[in-house]
Amino acid sequence: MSEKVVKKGNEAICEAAIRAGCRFFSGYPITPQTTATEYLSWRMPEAGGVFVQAESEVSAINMVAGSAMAGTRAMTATSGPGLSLMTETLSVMAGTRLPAVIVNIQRAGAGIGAITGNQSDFYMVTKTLGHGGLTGLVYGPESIQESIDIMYESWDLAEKYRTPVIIMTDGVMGQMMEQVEMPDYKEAPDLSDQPYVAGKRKDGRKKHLIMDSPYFGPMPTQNDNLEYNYAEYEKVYESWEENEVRYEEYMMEDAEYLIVAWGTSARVAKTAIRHLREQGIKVGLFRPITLVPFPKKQLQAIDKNKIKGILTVEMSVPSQFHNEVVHYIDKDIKVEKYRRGGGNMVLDEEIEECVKKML
Amino acid sequence: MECIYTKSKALSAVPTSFCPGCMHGTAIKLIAEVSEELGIENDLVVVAPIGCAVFMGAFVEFDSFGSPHGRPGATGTGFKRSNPDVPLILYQGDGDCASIGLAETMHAANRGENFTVVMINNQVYGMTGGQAAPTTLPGQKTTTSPAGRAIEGTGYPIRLAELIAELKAPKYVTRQSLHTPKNVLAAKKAIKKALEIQINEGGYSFVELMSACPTNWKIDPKDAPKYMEDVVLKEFPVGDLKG
Amino acid sequence: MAKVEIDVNYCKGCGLCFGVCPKNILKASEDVNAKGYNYAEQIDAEKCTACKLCAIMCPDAAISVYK
Repeated sequence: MSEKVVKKGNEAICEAAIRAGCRFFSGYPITPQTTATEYLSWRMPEAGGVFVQAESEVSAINMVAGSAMAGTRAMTATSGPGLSLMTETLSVMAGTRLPAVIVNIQRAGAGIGAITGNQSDFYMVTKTLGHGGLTGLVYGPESIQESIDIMYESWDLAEKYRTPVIIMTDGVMGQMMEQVEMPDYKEAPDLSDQPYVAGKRKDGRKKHLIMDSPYFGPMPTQNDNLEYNYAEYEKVYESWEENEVRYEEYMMEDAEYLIVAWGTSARVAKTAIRHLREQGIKVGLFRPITLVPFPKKQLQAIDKNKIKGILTVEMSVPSQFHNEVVHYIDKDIKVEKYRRGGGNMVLDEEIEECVKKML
Repeated sequence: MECIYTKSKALSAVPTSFCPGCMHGTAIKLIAEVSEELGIENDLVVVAPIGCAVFMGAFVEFDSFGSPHGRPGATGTGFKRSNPDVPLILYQGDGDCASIGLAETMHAANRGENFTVVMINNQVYGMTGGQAAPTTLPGQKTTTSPAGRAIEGTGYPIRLAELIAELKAPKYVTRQSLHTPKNVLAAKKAIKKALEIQINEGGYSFVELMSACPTNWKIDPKDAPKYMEDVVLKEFPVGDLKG
Repeated sequence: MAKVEIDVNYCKGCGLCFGVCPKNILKASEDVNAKGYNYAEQIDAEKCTACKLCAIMCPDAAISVYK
C-alpha cells in the first residue's frame, strides 16, 4: 500500500529509490545534496542494501558502475561540481549502456558558485554525457511528488533501454518539505544474464567481456564496429523521441500567451499564471518533463495564430534552457526571457510583470 | 609421455597481443593457473582498466569488465559489495594504480575491501609508448624524461606496496617479481595466497608484480631479467610486507 | 624421456626461455612464424629433463612439457 508522508525532497527521492528496488548507494557530501547521503547512510542498510561514502564523486560514480555490473539497482546523488567530476564515467556508462540512476540536486553557477538551488546544469546533461556525444534519459521534475514518481520507474526505463537515467532536481526541491504519497516496495528483476553483468555464471554461459567501447559487431574492424554500434545507440535515442517524451500542458487550451519552463521555475510560473488569469490574462504553461528526449515536436507545433508571445523562465544566468526552447519555436512568435541566476529564485510577481510587458 | 605442463584452460585460445617479453602475459597466465587450482575459473571476475592491463579480458575465459583509468578501486568496491560471494581481481598497471588512481587504490585498501589487487609494475606507461610513471627509476630515460628521471621536480619512485602495508585493514601485501622461474613460482604462490584469503576469510590483498616492458625500456627481452635483478629490484625489493 | 612442445603460433621469440634452460638447448629458429617472429626451438631434445623452467618463464604460455 502506498502511504502519505511528509518528507524533505532529498529524503523523499531516496526513499522512492529504496522502494524502486535500489540496493546500492554511493555518494560524497556536497551541498545541497548532503541530506540525501545522510538519509541513505542508515536507510539503505536498513533496507538490506549497501551504502558507501566514497572518497570523491569520481569514486562514487565508479562504485555505482561496479554495482550495476553486479546486476544491482544502483544510484548516486550529487550537485554540479560533483557531476562535473563524474562526467568521464557517465560517458563510460553511456558507452557500456549501463543502467543506473544519478540524481543531480542542482546548485548555482560554475566552479564553486553558490550552494543555493538553481538550474545551472541544463546544458551539461542535455548535450552529452561527458565526452563522446552519447546520452541518457534526463528528467526534470517540478515537485517532490513528481521526483518520487519518476524515481520509482527510473530503473525500469534504465534497464529497458540500457541507459543511465539522470533526475534533475535542485536545492530548492531538495530542502523543502511536502506531503507526498510514497509507493509500495518493488522487487528488482534478476539481471544476472544481462550482457553488462559479470559474475554468477550459470553452467555453460560464455564469458562476459564488458567494455565501454563496443568494439565487437558485424564489421571487419574495431573502428567500423564502434561507428556501427554508436549508430545503433543513436537509433535508441531516436526511439525516445517517439516513445519517451513527457511534458505537461497547463491551462494551455485557451491561452494567448505561453510560459515555457521546467522544474522549480515551472512550479513558480504556475502561481504567476493563476494570478494573471485572475486578472483576465490568458496565459498557459508548457513544461518539459523529459529534458532528454526534449519535447521538440510539441514546441515546434505551438501555433503562431494562437500564441502571441512566449516567456521562458529559468533559474540560470547565462541562459541555457531559453536558448534551447527558442531553437524550436516558430520564428513568427516572439520569445522573451525571464531568468534569475546566482542562486536566486525566480519570483511569481516578476514573472507576472514580464508577461504583462508582452501584452 | 604424460603432459606435465601446458596452457591453462582459463586462458582463451588466442595468443595475447602483448609485445615479445612483456610479462603481462606471465601474470595473466599465473592468474589463470591459480584459478584452475582453486577451482574458481568459472567464478572469478576480473577488472581490467585502461593501460595494457585492459587487454586481459580478451585473453582469459573469466567474466571481466573495464574501468576508467585509475578507478578499479571504486568499480571493484561497487561490484564486490553487491556480489560478496564472487571472487574478484583488480588487474592494474602502476600508472593506473599508483598515479591517476592513487586515491581509489588507497581508500579501497583502507576500507579493507574484500578483493585482490594485482599491480604490474614495469616503471613506465606502456600503452601510450613509454612515458615516465610514478614508479620510474631515478635517472631512467623515458619519452617524458629524455634526460633521465630527475628526483628534483619529479620525486622518487612510489613504493605502493609499502604504502599499503602501512594501513591497518589490508590482510596481505607483497611484492614479487616475474624475472626468473623461481620468482614466477613465488609470484604464483602469492596470487594464490591472496585469493585464498579473499575466499576463505575475507579481506584486502595487494600483490605487486615487478615486470618487464622491453619495448619501452628499449632493451632486448632476453636482457630484461638481468636488468631487473641488477637495477630494478634494488629500488623495489621483493618479499612479503604484511600478512 | 622428456620433451617440450613449443606452440609456434603463440611464441613471439622473446628468448626468455633460452637463458633459463639448464641444458642450454633452446634457441631461436631460422624460420619465422606467421607474425614474423623467430620462434624458440629445442635443439637437442635428448638432453631435456622436463624441468619446466622454460614453460614457467614463458609469458605467452607457448610451451607444453611432457615426461
